[in-house]
Amino acid sequence: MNDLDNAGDFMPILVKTHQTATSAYFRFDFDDSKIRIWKKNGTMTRTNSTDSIQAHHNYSYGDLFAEGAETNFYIQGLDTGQHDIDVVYVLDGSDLWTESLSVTFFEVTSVDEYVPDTYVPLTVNRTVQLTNYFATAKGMSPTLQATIEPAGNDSIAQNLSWEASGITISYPNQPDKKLATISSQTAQEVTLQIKYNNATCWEGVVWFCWGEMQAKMSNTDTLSVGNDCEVLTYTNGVPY
Amino acid sequence: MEANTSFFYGPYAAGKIEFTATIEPAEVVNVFSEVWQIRQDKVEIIGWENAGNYITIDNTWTNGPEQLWPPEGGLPGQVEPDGPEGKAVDNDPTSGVSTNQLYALDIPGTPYPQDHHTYERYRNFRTYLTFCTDETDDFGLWKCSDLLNWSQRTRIDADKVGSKIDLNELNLYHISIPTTPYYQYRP
Repeated sequence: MNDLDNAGDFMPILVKTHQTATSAYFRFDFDDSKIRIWKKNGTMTRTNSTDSIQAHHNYSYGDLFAEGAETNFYIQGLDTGQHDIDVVYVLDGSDLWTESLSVTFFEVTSVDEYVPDTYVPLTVNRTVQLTNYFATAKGMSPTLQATIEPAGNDSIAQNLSWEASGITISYPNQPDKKLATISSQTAQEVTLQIKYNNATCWEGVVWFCWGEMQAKMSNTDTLSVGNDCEVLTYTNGVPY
Repeated sequence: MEANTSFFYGPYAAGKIEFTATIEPAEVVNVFSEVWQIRQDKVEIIGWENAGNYITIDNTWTNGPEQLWPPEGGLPGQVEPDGPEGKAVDNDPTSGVSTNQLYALDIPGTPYPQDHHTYERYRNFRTYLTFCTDETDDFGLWKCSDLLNWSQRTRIDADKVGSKIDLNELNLYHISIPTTPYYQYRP
């Protein structure tokens, strides 16, 4: 990924050492095809060359802790799944300590209506220019289902949050929140988001629709200018 | 209501009505323009030709109304989609100069009684907007507006001198459907 200024959310990790470790080296061991680690967070301008932590490379104390013995680094997931990171304290050419952590990155790969067998869909949906659109009628209560990769992680599924202003959202399969039932008693357009720890994982647009019916039946009324009924082009009678 | 002079009618006593469904939020039609339909139900219908009916095989007069809806033995409230369908609907909210409107026309009417003296009909309809979530058929057809109730009453007396139409009335409410004819039988 080259455009890291727009690379999305990053997970901070705090690495602590001690101020007397100026003669030590530090090494981050990780699979750089799966994750990247950065010295700056996602809101700051970064470049690949100077701000990226290179895997398996020995950094001096001054390289990493010039601003203090406690420094935040930022993890970027390049692939979903669980990834391991070892931070190694190297002294006199030997690995003296190793601190390990595992990070799981997930992705909401799609959102679709959940329609049990014999049921009828309550929505239509379409993706236009990367935006997910759903339409349903005011007063209906469709259930949407998020598909998450990697699948089967209960902790992730239980900590999702579906959010939108002005509509009712409930979770029919608690504590799993991959399913959410949405409804609105008002005709409106809403932006629906799925969040995990306040980070937005998915965003779409839902239209709750309603029609206002009117009729003209006076002999003095004229047809509406938008009326394109085919019979209006007929010259020899109209079925009744 | 019509401005188009080529708009003709089949029945002798005809009503003319245009329906408009305005979809909100309007922006939805920019992505979903083909899922809307104006539908119509016949709710209650009754009619008499010469205070009876001539729907027998030999076209002889029979006592009783010529048509009934719901049909005898039908479930209470049973309805069936009726016109306007096909050529008399504009179900594309983006066609022409429409922004988010659908249109339908209906020309309900009653035929001239010919040699049968009188003809009268009383009908209740309801028209509404639907939203279809299944593109293959009507399986996923959902109501997407309030029901617009309307009705028609027509009475034709072919024996009269001058105008033969005693009553031709459309209303935006449901009428009380009579159980007996207005006209008496004439031999």
